Amino acid sequence: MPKADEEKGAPRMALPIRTPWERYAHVLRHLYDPAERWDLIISGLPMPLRPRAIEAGCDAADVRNPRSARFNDAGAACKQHVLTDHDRFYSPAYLDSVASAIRLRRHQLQPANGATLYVGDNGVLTVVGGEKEDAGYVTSAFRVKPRGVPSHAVRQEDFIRAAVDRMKELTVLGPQGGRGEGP
Amino acid sequence: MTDTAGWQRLIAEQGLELLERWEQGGLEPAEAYRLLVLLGRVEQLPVRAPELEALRDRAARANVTPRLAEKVSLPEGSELLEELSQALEAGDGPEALHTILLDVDDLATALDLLGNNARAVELARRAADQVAKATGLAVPLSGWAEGRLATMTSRSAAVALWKQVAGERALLGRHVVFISHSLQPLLRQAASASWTLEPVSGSGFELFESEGRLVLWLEVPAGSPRPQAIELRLRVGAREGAWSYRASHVEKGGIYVDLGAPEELRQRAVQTLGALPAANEPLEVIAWLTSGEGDDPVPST
Repeated sequence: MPKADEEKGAPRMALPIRTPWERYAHVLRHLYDPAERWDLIISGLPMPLRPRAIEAGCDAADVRNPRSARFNDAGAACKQHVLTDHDRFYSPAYLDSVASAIRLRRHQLQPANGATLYVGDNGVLTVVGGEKEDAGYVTSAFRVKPRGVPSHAVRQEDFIRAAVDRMKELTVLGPQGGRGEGP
Repeated sequence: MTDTAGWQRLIAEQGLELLERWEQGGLEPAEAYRLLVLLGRVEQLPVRAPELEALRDRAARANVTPRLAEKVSLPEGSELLEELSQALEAGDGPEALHTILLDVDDLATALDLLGNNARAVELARRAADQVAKATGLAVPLSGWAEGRLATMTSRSAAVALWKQVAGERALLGRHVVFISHSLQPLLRQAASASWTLEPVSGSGFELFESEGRLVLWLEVPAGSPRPQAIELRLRVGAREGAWSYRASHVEKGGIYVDLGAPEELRQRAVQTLGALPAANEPLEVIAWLTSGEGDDPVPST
């Protein structure tokens, strides 16, 4: 756990997403979204991810349309498969993003809720909670989709740029905007 | 207070960097689209800033906007609206929702710059309608939305979208739903040394164990504001007490509440009530949900 005397929002190593149902939801929504192109940054990622999850026992409708997915309704085999994908592929990628973002000084405090946003050299935008039970835990991690370019032509550099741009925009306005850290 | 100067600085720094590279012939399609959006944001500003005037004049001299329009492949508005719908219905975190709202804002801004004001306004209006239907989900973004509104004139296409998001703040603190479930067997079991939880479910709730913690899932009626806090209220005869939790995760149709380890729950019940109820004493457990922030007190209506 983070030390209590650490400055609020100060960059620090993060802990994985806290609960299994949040891990399940984020894997379905982000890691399994083909448009987020996690294959560009995770070597050995078994593709395609969605058919693989369906084969492992997940409901096809839930996998293709994660908004309707409910953790409680998923079968044990599906949960195990998705949570294993979290541990093997998703969490190493987002934790690596935090670590490299600290080295690159590419992180910003979100003044509205004390969270810190990180964009590492893999272009994953990772959010680490700053308050209460979320403090120090990753609360979200996703790849910002570059726009203005067909998905087949998108480059890893486009993902990094899109994530950095969004991180700055998300933290620059608002009630206490402009108090971000990093570049 | 809103840092509109920070917003302008972002536009100026990125806009000039991209414009210089454009003049040298080096922009990729995604970068060209970004420059188009930044030039659109310059036109939206309600005030004139010297560094942005310089960016605008330089872009105008080089006739950049129509040439950019030829280079980029504009996103499909319908696809962005579908992604927004997904983010709203899935109860994704505020940052992911914020990102897709900005994608919509970007396209409306670019369309406006290219003279397609009617399409831009329609896109923003449809996105605003979706936010309105997903009552309360955009509440955490309302402060940012107020800031964004300060960076655009009232004629800007994206105004409708951010006005809707800013207005979501009015939903804070509203009492949404009252659910009463008897969790008495749970508390009695939790007091036992050999406690093991069989999953418990009933109308509108499920209780299960995950990684040694008790988890309560509560159904939330469609159309309710997004619950952010839950108060568990215990009553045994005249003895009554309550404590609060944050709603840790929202998914379609319900929320998850992490009640902690069984022993923690038992101790809280003991501290609140003085003692666990005797076997023949009826224990009432009530869960109140609010859309208020954090541990805001729950109205006792």
